[in-house]
Amino acid sequence: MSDNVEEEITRWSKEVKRGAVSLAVMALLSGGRAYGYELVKQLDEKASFLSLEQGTVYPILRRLEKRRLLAAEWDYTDPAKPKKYYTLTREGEKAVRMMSKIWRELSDGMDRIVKEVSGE
Amino acid sequence: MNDRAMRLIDQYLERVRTYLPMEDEEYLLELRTHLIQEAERIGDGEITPGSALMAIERMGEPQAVANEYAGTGKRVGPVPVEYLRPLIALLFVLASAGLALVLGTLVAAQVLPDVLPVSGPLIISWIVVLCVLAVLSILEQRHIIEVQTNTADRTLFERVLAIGREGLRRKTRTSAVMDVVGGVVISALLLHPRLQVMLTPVFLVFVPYLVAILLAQASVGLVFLWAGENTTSLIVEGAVGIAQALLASVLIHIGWPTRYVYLYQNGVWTLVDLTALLATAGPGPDVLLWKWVFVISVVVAASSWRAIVDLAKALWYLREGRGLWWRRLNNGPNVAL
Repeated sequence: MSDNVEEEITRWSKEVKRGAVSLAVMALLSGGRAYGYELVKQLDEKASFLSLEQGTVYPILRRLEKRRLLAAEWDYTDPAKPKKYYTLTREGEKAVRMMSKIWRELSDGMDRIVKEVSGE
Repeated sequence: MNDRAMRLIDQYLERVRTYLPMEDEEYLLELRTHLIQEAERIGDGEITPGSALMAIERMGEPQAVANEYAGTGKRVGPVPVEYLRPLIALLFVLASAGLALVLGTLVAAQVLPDVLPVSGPLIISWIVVLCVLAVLSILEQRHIIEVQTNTADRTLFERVLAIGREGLRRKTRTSAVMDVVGGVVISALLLHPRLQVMLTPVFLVFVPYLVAILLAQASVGLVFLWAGENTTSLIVEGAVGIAQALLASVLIHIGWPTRYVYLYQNGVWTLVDLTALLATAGPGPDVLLWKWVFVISVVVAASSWRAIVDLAKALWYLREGRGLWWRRLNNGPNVAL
């Protein structure tokens, strides 16, 4: 495979994953509050196909918090390891429902196209 | 917890901080907890330097981690956004040092009878410093020298410029102790009659001002020892830094401050005229002026940088609503006293 093709696939794969991670993080939070490290571990476990750099989750959390889709609260019970717990806000709950719907439609549509093209 | 492992994690976070806007302490705190927990997981519940390094490797390159947060590929004019802050810091230091020296020249022309022509040595000093930085940068870019052995280390270029860890980290207790001890000891030496006889008459005029600044610096060290970094301690340290830069900018014009040196001759210590000594047995007294100008240039740049960082951090804490006086408990919340 040429360098150009490899570069394009890497870029495309990164973009797709980036969009998916926001939904995956919000979907995980719909099951209850969690802090960054927990979310990274849950993503590793349940969505290893996303194969993320660990540092990428935190900027997404901050962005969702800034957009008020997540609320955050610090827990200093262990002062050496303070934890910032995230929960979905009402807006966040609405958003995750909408995003899941869009994801399913997109995924079904893409499945159909890919199957047609590859003749499956 | 293992000290060396924690030091590796904190060094790594300081490198990330270099490329982040100042208001992102919380992000770093989250990453810190993440790295500790990941290192513990890798080390089966125990944190070791090896497990810390593995956790750091998994997190990714500091610049890439900061980029993920600040947004990749962004540019401000021709400058990639991740280089903007270090570049602004460098420009600020150069501009402040330049301004301090210009102000110093104006003040010196008013108070000193014979202002020494220091612009030549000064320009050469700055050219030497810039050349050293440029050579280091080129050597690193071409991987001829590499001091970075893992992602927690900083590059040699950053180390020389004191960008990031050295410049922005909170003052350590050791550094505060050194401020106190250094301020008191040097003041005592400057005021000691046996040492005062060595000084030039024009430098003696400035000794009380120098002692006042050194003692102020020692007091700042005491405040840092007692309360740690807070808005007030930063403002006071920033003010001392400005005073230091301005005084140094005037002192640069008086030339080498010692006229005599003690030499051990025939079993006794005797005072010898330094100028005469260098004129007969050395490269000449001019070399002292060049050394003095170089040292003072570095002092002005370092004091200006310290003042800029302190005042920027103080403003940032005020904007965060922390008030003027508070104490930090480890990495936990800030507590108002």
